[in-house]
Amino acid sequence: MSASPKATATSTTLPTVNSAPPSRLLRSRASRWIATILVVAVVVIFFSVGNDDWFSIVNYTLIAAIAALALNVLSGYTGQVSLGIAFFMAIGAYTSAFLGGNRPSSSLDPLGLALPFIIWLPAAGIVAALVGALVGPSALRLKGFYLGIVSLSLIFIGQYIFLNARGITGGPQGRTFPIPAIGGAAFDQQNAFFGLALTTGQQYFLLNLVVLTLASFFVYNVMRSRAGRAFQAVRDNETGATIMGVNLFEVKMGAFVLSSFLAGVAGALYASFSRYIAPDYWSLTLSIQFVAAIIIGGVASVWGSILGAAFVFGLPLVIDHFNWLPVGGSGIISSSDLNALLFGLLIVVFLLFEPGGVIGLARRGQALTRRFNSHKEGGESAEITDLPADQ
Amino acid sequence: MSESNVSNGVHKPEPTRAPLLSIADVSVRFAGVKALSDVSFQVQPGELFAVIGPNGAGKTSLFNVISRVYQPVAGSVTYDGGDLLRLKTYQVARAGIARTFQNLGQFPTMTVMDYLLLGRHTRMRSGVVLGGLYFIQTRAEEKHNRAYCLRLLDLIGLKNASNYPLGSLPYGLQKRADIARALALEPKLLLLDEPVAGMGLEETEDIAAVILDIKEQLGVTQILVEHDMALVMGIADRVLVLDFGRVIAQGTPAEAQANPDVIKAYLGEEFGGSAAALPAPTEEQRS
Repeated sequence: MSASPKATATSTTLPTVNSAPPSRLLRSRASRWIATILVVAVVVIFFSVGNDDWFSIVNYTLIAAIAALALNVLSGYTGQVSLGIAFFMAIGAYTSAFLGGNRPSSSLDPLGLALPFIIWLPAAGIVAALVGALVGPSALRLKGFYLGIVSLSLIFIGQYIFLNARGITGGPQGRTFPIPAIGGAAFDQQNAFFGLALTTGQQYFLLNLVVLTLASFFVYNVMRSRAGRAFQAVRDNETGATIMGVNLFEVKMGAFVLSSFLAGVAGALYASFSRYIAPDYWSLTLSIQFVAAIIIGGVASVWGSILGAAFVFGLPLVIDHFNWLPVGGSGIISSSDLNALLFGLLIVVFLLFEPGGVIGLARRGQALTRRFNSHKEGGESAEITDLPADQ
Repeated sequence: MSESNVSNGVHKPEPTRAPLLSIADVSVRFAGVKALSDVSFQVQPGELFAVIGPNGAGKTSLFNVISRVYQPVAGSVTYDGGDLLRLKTYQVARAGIARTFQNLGQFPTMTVMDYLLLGRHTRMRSGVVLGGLYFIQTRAEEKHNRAYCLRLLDLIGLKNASNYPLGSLPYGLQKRADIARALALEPKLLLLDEPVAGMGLEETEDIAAVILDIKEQLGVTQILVEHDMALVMGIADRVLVLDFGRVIAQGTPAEAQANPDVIKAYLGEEFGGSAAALPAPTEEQRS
C-alpha cells in the first residue's frame, strides 16, 4: 500500500433529505410559532379572563401535559410499553394526600399529616419514583406486549389497594386532597402576590405552568444528552445499544424512575386541583387516554406531549364548555362518547399515516416550506452536495 | 489512542509481543448445531486481521463471541491480558472493543452526530439527573465530545451530514457513519462486520481506504469479517478461513489463497487445487 489514500468521498453526494434535522425545543420555526401563540394566549387569558371555568380547562390541560410527558419518557423515548401511568399518578396523589392532608378530626376521616406544600409535592414524585424503581426491573425480562400486560396489572392491583386502604384513600367514597399554600396563602382563596389579586384558578395556573415548564426543560435536556441518547438507542435496538456499551438496567431504571416521578407530581397536582377524588378515577381508561395523547401529539417529543394533552384532555372540556354538543337525554351523542369515538379513530389514522403525530405533521410542513423557499430562491439549500473532497 | 490522534494521525502502536486478542479452542453450539468448533487464533496489536469463509461458516458467530453476545460452551478468550468472558455484554465497549453492524437501519431517526455521541457513551459520564439539569459540567462534556465527533466525521468525509438522520443517508454513507460511530469509542480493537456487503466496486474501494487509514493513521487493531475475497486479499495482514465453524486455514493472504482446502470450501470439490480460480486482488487494492 502506498501513501495512505485518504477517506475518499469525492464521488458521493447526499441527496435531498426528506426529514429535516430534528427541531430543538425552541429553536425551530414551528416550535417558536407554537411557543409564541401559547404565550400570547396565556397572557390574554390570564389578564382578561376572571372566569375560573377557563382556568379549570387550562389547568387540567397543563397537568395532563405533565403526565403525557411522563408517559412519553417511558414509551415514546425509551420504547417501554406502559398502560400503568394512571397507577403512578395515583401513587403521587395519595402520597400528597397522606403527607399534606388535614389531620383526621374523627376516626372515620382518612389520614393526613398536614405537612406543607413544599414537602408534599416533591414527595409525591419521589414516592412514585421509588415505586417505579420497584417495577422497573420487570422491563429487563419482558418486552413489548408482555411488558404492557404487566403494566396493565398495576392498574388492577392499584384499584384493589386504593379501594381497601381506607386510611389513605378514603375507600370507595374517595377523599379530599391538600391545597397548595405559599407562605400561608392557600390557593383555595383569592390571594395577592406582588400586588396582583389572583383567583384560585389563576394561582393553580401559575403553579402548573411552572411545573410543566421545568419538567419540559428537564426531559428535553435529558434527551439531548448522554442518558437520553441511550434511552432512544434502547428503544431502537437493545442488542445494538448494549454492544455500544449501554447498560440496559441503568437505562430502563432511569426511564422508569424519571417517568414515575413526573407522573407522581402530575397525579398530586391533579388531585389537588380536583379537591376530591374517588379511587375509580385512576382507571385503565385514564392510562389509555394518555397513550392516545402521545400518539396523537407526537411520540418522543416534548411539544408532542403538550399538544396531545391539549387535544385529548383540553378539547373535550372546551366542547363541553360551549355546549357544542347536545348532551343528555335528548342528545344524539354525549361528549364523552364522541371523544372515545374520535380518539379511537384518530389513533388509527395517526398510526397509519403519521406515526410522528401532530408534531410529525408540523415537521413535515416545515420541511416542505423549506424546500419551497429554497426553490423560490433558486438555490438548493435543502440539499447537501458538498461533502468534503479530501486532499 | 488519545484525542489528538484523530486530527494528526501520526500515532503508531508500540510493537508488543503479547497478542491483543487471544482466542483458544472456542466452541459455540445452538441446540446441538455447532456454530464454531475449537477455533483458535491470536491477533497482534496494530494488525489488520481478516476472517473469511462461505455463508454460514461462523464468522458472525465469532464476532458475537468477542462482543459477548454469545456464550461459548468451551474455550477461552483473552483480551488485553484479561479474561474477556468475565465481562458482561455492555462492559465490552468500555474495555475498548468497538463493533460495526452488518445490518444497518437500526437507528433510523438518530442524527449522524447523535449516533457518534452514542458511540462515545462509555467515554462520557452524565446520567439522567446531570443531563436533565444540563449545568456547566454536562454542557462542557457535550461540547467537548461533539467537537471530537465532528473531527472524526471530518476525517471520514461525513462532516456535512452530521445533523441528518441516519435513515435519510444512502447506504454507503450509512456504512461509513457506522464505522465513524465505532471509532468514536476510541477503540483498541475494532470489529468490522462485512463493511462492504452490498457495495459496488467504487464504494468498496472507498471503504478499503478508510480501513487502511484506521490501521495506518490511528493504529487501531482491526478484525474484519468479509465475503469479498478481493478486498480481504488486498488489505489484510493475516487471514483466518472458517468453514462450517472450523478453522481450515490461517496465515498471510497469499498462503490462505494457495491452500487447497480454502479453494474447495469456496468453489466446491471440482475446483480443488486450482488456485487460479480465486479472484485476484485488483490493482488498486494491491497498490
